[in-house]
Amino acid sequence: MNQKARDTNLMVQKQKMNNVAEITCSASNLDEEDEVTANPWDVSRVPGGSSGGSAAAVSARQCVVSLGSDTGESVRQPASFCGVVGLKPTYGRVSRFGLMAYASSLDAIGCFGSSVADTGILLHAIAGHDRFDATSSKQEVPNFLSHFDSASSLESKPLKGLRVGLIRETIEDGVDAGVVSAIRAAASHFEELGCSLNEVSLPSFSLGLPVYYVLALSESSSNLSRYDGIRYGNQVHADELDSLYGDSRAKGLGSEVKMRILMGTYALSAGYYDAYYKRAQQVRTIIRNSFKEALNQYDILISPAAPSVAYKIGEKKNDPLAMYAGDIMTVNVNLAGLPALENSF
Amino acid sequence: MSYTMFRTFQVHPFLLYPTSILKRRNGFLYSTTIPKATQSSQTETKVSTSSQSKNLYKIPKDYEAVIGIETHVQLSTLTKAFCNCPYSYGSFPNSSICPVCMGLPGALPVLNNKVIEFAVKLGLALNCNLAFNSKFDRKQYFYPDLPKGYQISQFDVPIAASGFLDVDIPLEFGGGHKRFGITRVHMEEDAGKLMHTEKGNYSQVDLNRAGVPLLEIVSEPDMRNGIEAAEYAAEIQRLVRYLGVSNGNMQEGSLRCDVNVSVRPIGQSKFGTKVEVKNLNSFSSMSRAIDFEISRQVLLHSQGQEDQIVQETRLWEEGSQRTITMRKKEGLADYRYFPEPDLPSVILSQEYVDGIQTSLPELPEEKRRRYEKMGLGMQDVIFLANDKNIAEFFDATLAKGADAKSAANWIMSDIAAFMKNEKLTINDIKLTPEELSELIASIKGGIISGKIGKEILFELLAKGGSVKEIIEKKDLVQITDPVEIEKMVVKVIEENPKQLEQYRGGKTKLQGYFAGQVMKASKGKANPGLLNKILLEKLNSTT
Repeated sequence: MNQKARDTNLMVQKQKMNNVAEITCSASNLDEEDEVTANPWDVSRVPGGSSGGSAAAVSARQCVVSLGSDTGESVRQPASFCGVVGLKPTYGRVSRFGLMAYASSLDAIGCFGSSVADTGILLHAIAGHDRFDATSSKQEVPNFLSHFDSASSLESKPLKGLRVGLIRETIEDGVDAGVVSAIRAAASHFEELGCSLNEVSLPSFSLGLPVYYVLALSESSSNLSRYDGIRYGNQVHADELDSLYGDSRAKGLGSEVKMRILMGTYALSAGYYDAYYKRAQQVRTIIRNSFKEALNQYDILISPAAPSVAYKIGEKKNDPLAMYAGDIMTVNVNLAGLPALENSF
Repeated sequence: MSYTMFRTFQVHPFLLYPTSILKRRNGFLYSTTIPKATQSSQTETKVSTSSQSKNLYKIPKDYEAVIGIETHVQLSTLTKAFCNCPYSYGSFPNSSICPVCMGLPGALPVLNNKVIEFAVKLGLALNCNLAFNSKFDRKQYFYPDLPKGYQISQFDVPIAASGFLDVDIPLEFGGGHKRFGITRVHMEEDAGKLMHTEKGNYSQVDLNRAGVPLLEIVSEPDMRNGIEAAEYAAEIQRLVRYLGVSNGNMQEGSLRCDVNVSVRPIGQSKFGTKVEVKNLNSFSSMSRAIDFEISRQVLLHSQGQEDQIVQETRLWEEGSQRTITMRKKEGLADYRYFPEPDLPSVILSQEYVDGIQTSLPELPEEKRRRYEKMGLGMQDVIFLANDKNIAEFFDATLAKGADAKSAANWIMSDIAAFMKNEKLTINDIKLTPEELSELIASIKGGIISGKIGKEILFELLAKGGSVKEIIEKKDLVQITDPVEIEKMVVKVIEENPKQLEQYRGGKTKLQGYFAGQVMKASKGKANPGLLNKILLEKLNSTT
């Protein structure tokens, strides 16, 4: 990915002074000991996570575009909280080689920018097949940059002919009233621009959250096994091999990460695999199919990116489940492997 | 090859259960029902003072052993299974590694196509059903030689399953044809190597071997004794070498066998508790370890202590020739298998499979049957077919026109003896199949005698050259002209009047003496048949 960006003369600047959430395991970017990343719009609020640092950097105009990784929401949610554009490409569009793996079948590298065009330019620079990633798509990357029209060249109803579906389940209970009205306003704006807009129902939508968490935690518990202190990282000396592993990981991994590893290991263990992991994969197929069907009738589907605005720093600290619940809007897209763009109006 | 190995193990000094060895010599296999007559003859044998071996006589012979074997075959692909690191046994530690096989963050596996090709080859050669749509799974456990904390393997959909392997048991162990079932064949990656230090307060990890492709072959529990198990393993070795998928070397670790042994009373369908035995470094140690384990278990059964047989892993100790507990299994390990998300499904097309099927070489079993059809005895068949190089030499000789029997005889007697003495393989000797064929033809055609043929052979083996050249150079053409032979016979008779008188007086054995003299006179070139015919005539005539 770095290689492709370099090939197109994009400046690759390392993140300055921004916390990278520990192994992308955070929806609030708050779990690290050192510095706290804050939302540039209101520094008492979280920037979102786990790529909150990247989002905040673009939002604070520290850089033009930035990269993040999106497994369930980690690019789109912080983009939403920080008011920038966040794009998660189709699974396989961008190589995952070099990305510390969290959930292998869900991870995708995403782009932040202050405009859709900028974000698109970044995507174009990093997209394409990589022979070091067996899951990267061999499909040609079209030159979609050539389709970026400037606003002045557009006619009055530029979205004419576009079929837009507003997912009904995303404006029902559990979503902040403010968010619902915002999305409705966005929907009418779309209609003014000429598209045809309807509400569409995806009955399996709410299943996305538990399915996502079972699968993501299971896969990540496996992907994180390599952090054992044997080849690199801190090794705690012990008399027994098991203690060496246990103590090194206990000391070296943060509490949120450890919690997720425990949950994922549980979901994969003998006696529980069928009820959790296997079941979740089966429901995932249902979710994927329902999106496929909806996208036969509509060109794009829209929803809020999060059920609430950026919450205050420390607000959800003792309620991990509440934090997880915030992912409801975005996870289905990862499960289905689809691309999604977050844009702030 | 395997036949030579059994030779050596029979004279092993550390005989804990010598009676087992004796039984084998007689062609009887240990755990089957043995007729009473043999049993009584065994009790007369003097054995070591160990009380255990004394009890052997009293062990009821109505138990049968059930043996299954798991074989790991290290594939001889140029690079590892999921990255492009090369692999060569014995290279400097950690000299052939990369982020992928080291399991570094961000590294992803990409499958080496050759692994699939070799897997399909072996699956077809083992007569298996191939899975046209299989996948990889992660087998998860923590150990320092496993960098990712999981091994990429295949769990519930192996690439090949439900096959069989036909073997010919060597004649000295009873001979016979046996078929053993193959449960499954699947692809997986090897782990690294751990080197433990003398002091023991640290160990070192060498990841050169991590990521090397393996094929795991699991047999049905069809073997019943050490010989069958060892022959199965030897046939697997032959097969992988014939196919060119592995060099099948137990010493280098490119062929590894773990065996599972259990016993049960004959007639019982339920399996007994199975015990795994590891650290088997040769076919003969495999055979001995299994036989030891069988007798250990049968002994416990006979003493009413079968509950002492627990499901565990035991190590074979070559020094003391016994198995010892390595670790007791605290329940079955939970490997938390789930499908490998970083690798796509392995999809085979009928075309691909057919292509590999047609490219398969003639397999050892096919060769053995072909040689048998030629009329060769099983001893010859096994010798010739079991070593790929010898078989090729033999076939090449036949292709030049030689008949099977003669070629087989030459190869198995004089040529084999030469190879053994000089410690050479058939590829090292200077004799070519063409020349062997020529030699056979020359003898058949009467140009040279059999005896001269042997001399020529020796020269060909050591120095090469051609039969025709040597015959010419040394003037070895057989004398078949009766007139000439008669001349020599008459001369010899004239020169030995005393012996002639003795012969005529009744000492007919002296014919040999005369024959020898004529041979000497002819410099060994006289056709023996003709010589003796004419000699006899002359000796018995009244003139």
